[in-house]
Amino acid sequence: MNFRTSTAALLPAGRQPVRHARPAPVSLGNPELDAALPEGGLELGAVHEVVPAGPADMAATIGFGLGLLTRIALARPGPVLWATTRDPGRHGTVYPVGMAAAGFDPGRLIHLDAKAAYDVLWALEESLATPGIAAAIGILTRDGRRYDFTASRRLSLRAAAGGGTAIVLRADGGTNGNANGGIGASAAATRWSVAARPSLPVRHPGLAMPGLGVPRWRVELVRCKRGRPHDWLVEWDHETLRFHLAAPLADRAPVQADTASRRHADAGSRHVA
Amino acid sequence: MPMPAAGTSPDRRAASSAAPLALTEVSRHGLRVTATDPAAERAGISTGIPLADARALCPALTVAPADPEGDADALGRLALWCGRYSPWTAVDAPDGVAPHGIALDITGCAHLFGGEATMLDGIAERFAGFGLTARVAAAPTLGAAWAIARHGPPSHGPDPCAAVPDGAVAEALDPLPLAALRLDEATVEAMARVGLKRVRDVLGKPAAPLTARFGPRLLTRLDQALGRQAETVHGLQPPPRHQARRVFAEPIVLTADVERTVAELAGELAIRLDDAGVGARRLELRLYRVDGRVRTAEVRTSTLCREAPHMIRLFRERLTASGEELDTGFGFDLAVLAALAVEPVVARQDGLGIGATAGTGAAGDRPDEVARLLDRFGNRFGFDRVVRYAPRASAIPERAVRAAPVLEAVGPEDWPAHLRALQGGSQPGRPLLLVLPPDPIATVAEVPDGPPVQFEWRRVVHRVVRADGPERLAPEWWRPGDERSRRTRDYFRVEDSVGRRFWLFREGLYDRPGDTPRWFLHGLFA
Repeated sequence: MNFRTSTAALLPAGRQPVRHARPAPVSLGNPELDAALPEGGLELGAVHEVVPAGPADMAATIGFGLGLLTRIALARPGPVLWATTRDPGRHGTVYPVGMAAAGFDPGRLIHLDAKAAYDVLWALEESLATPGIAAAIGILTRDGRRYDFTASRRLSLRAAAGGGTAIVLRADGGTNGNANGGIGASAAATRWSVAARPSLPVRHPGLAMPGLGVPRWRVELVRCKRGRPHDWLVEWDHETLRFHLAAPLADRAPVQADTASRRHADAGSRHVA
Repeated sequence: MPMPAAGTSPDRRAASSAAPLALTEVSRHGLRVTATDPAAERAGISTGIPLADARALCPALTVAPADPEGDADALGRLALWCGRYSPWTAVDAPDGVAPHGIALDITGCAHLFGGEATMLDGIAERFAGFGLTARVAAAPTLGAAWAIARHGPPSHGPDPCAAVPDGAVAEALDPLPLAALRLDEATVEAMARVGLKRVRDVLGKPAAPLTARFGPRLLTRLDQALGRQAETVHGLQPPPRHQARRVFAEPIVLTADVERTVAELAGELAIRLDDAGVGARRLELRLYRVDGRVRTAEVRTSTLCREAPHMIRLFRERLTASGEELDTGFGFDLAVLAALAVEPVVARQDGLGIGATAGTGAAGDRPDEVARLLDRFGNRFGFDRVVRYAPRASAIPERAVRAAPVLEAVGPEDWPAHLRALQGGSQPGRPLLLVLPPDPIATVAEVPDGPPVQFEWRRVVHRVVRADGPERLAPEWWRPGDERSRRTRDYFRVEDSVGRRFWLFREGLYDRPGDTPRWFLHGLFA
């Protein structure tokens, strides 16, 4: 099986992908986010791409991907495949306790640690064809170029035929930047670009330094079939398991007069729709 | 019960060189010849003579050092290949007695190869085809076959094969030298000193004096050779209960042919497993190449497997894993698909067919589908690469999770309780990604016990603007472990000026004399 070969073999005789009994889209838990998506929620039976906005935003991107997975896993039964390329130390290894803390049930997790991007894509394609799998995420920290238009089209056709949902996370999405959020043409339904943002400070009485709030990201819907690009400041609520839109950071500087963080805070507020 | 056995003793020789060749080995008395080819033998060189003598006899002699380990490897491979004749096949190396060979228990096998004589001829012919000189003998006992193959009369004749019929063992052994009884050199020499040189010298002699003088081994070996004492061939592998095999008149070389063969064999094996009411856990495909090598592929399954399509798929992916081509060599002439581990199948009632139409699939089918997918992942990437996670009762972050291969059944686990035990509440107190091993970092802290205000990780300086902590994790002193896990850790969640969140810890305590705390980065938050 070669991902470079044509996708024609996956097309049925009518040259149109079969779309039978398409599952209802999954709400992201926030009406504003859902409204930006043409289906009124995250489309199932499709491929979604998540890319970091910069090389340092990998953890945030994985966090947002996990949020999407959690939303899908709430709506669909079965295990979730987490496929990674073997990449010791570089980005850290998946930590199920942290997933549990974020609200995802690690008992539903199947972790495949494959050697190369090719194997991850193969595993994604196979799990898309297996109805028992709730969702699959492929994290390409290495050799992401394997995931090109043909590969995305293959996965999309498989997803449409089998009703499975896949999330592809390309680590090098932000490094070879072009206007499309890093990577080139793709057949995926959506592409999200994620950047870490300072969280809402939690003030501890008697301590100079404030504590961390819930994770906050700047999420940009870079591409969306039949939809418009958009961006938000998004927070993941690990208690209610939904995304929230964050209020822009207060105008007031957080305790310390910190020009750098205020600059970022301003940048954040500029993006709020 | 007669136990026909065949022993072969291959000599590794370079068949291509025309010059006489001898292999040498360093012994106590200098270099000695350990093996010769026919040309060297004709020149009068025999094994065991010093190399200087051999050179004097034949100045044109080509000499190469002997490679006993390589020989043993090659013999092992050949023994594996001989598995095509009988499942009870082993490298025949009685302790301290050379030369080694291959032993096969061919009880009930010979008729499959056209009778004993034809079978022996076939084996000899095959070995000749590999460029090996083999002497083959079949006898009712392993000991007799060993003796005839190595010391029997046909060894110098044109026919390398000898079959000893039932009841003629004593006659066949009678003229052979005593070394034919698998005795070590010292015993043979000691017996020669008192004039006992041939098997006939000890046949029918009273046992007690012989045992008293030469030890119990002599009689044991004699009895084994004569069939008065049982001896079995310990096969390289336990023979499978269920297998399907296919012999080809012409070797097959095309991958497509191999795949078709696997499909046919899987169909046959599936029927056999079904008849026996068992399912396979481990399946092995053995492809015997005409040049004496065996290509094996093993697949394991997490659930009992007895459906041909699943087997076919697993083997197809196994044989062409990661794009490598199947090395067919000069072709395969025998293919065997065997179920190595089987377990009885507990019958399960399917649904009544309601909603079990293709496409939607009944809910009850899904675990099977997922299990099959995991089998394929496991066989392709290795079962240690496809894991589920289970909580483990430990506060040390690295130990708090156990990776269980998908072959292992992991029951429903109480993750929320585990999480509460670890971090007290439901806040995101544990990172999404763990950096293993923890990365040492350089930090600047305002107060010794507080969080750092700045740290450098992978040559990037991060300024800390938010921090939570410390969360103190005491070492688990009751566990034997490395030095690192024996020191107290204070964990901090920190966020830098651009919003990246990290999990840092300080190892060691400031107020303890002689303890120099060090900082590490252990995880990344979303």
